[in-house]
Amino acid sequence: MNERPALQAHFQVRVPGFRLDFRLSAGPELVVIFGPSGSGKTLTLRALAGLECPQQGRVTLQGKVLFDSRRRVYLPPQSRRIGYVPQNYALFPHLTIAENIAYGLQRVPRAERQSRVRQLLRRMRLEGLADRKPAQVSGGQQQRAALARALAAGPELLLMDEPFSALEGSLREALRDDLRQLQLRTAIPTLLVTHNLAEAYSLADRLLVLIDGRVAQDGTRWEIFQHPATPTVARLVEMTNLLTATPLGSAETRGIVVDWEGIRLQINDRAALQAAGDLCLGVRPEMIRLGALNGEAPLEAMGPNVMQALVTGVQERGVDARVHLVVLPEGNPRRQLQARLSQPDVERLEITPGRRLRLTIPPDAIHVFRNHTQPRA
Amino acid sequence: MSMWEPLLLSLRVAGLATILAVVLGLMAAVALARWRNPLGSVLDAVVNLPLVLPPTVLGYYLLVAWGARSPLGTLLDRLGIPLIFTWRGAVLAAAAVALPLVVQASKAAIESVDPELHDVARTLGRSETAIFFSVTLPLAWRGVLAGAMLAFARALGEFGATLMVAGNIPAKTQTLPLAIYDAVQRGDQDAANLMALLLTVSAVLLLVLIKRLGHTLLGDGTRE
Repeated sequence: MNERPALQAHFQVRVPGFRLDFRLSAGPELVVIFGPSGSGKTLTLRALAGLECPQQGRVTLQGKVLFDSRRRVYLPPQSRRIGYVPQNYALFPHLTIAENIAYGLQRVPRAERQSRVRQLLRRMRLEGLADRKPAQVSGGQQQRAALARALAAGPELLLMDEPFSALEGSLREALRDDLRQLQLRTAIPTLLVTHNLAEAYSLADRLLVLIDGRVAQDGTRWEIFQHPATPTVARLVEMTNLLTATPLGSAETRGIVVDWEGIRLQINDRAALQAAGDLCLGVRPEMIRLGALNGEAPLEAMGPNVMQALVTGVQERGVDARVHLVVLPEGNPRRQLQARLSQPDVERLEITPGRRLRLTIPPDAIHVFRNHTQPRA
Repeated sequence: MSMWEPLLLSLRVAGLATILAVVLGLMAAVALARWRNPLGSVLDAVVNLPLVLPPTVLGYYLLVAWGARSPLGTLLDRLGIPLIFTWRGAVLAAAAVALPLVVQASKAAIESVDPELHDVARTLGRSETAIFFSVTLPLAWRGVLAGAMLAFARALGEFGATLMVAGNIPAKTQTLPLAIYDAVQRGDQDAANLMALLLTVSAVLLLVLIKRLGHTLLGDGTRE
């Protein structure tokens, strides 16, 4: 781990009405840049490729300085050795697939060029399509051809902008796996941009969340999904339950006790101890457990954070469902929660609006946002 | 007097003028498509000036700029390739008049090429010149060709500027439009009719060709 990361970048790009502040160090790994549209994802890739000139900062790739505002270095895209696959693939429509792949190999001797193109055609499963024009092959084949063209010149960094957005569902998943495998084999540092949460999650261990031109969080997908840095990141990764609670002290049990709209909650996140004032808590909807009420036993005796809740709505979403609940006793509309259940569970518990259920928030599932204490409304 | 001499001269002058206008016009179109700054606006105005300037005025400016007393004219004289009152002058005049047609058609065609193709080509290490000849031009050639044909038609009919720069010397600089003028002046209606018909037919022919080119250009985009 003494090695310096292959890519070290920090820069600022100002375009009319928008400012991008980007920072990233990456090794030979696949990093997914995730963010809503308009957050600066494409601009980031273009700036790294040299197609957009940042105002400030420094970018180095394999020890080579690509951009340095202080030393006035700005390498043109031609001398950066960065492969760029834009969103629509931008295959040259008048050239064949083989000619597209060979486009960046003009300085390579003819024989070697041909053998490299053949090799890439085989590796990307494009044999037999060498003489077709891009318009004559499928979307998935176009994507692989664009990738082959970028890889042909032996890039030191690969940039891909929404590579799956033009493809249909089933194909996406297969190609995602392909891409992961390819990245592992080639070990070329790769940045991939997406606004699709499932795609971000399934593609890479490392995620970089970009919001409004800023890196909101950079970490493993576990960190980002379970411990988002801010409520904005939390909403983006579908941690839909954001609660405001008042600390009540930590003496009585092992956990920390807080008050959420008159309900006592036990939490285990030590970050709550450092907070002064109200806490902002987050709970992923799939972590909330629902069960049938069995009249006799008092809920308090069943463990921490068990309560009674009323179903107010059910949103079916195919394989799973979102269940909207309000914690009883009724009367406080702020005691809303959202749970995510698999379809069989929805049927087993006969979840319909108006039904009362037992609701549990496991203490470990409650995330405390650091530095997000708020004055009580 | 034969009408073949003026016709052949006209074809030669218009052909060479078209080549000159396409070469210069393409360079201007590339610059205009890329420079979105005051310099671009100035260039835009300059290349389009022949479109709005009276041909005589344009011819007069060319005469002043390239004439025997100008530095350029003196230089050409010394090199033994005089321009004024030669067929070369006629080429220059026709090219200047045809230039805006090439520039406008080429600029539109170049701008219709997806800029992302250009971006990707740059990341693949190719120079701007290489990208122009391997990507931009192959995708924009229909528009450029349409502009070149319009330019040829315009050059073929050039009268005012040609008269100013090259004069009206039979068998030397007398192109078809000038010959028609002469024939009418002489009262030789048969010759005028024949030559006018010739120009009309070639103009209609070019129009049909441009139209067909435009049709495939605006069609479903499949080639071959």
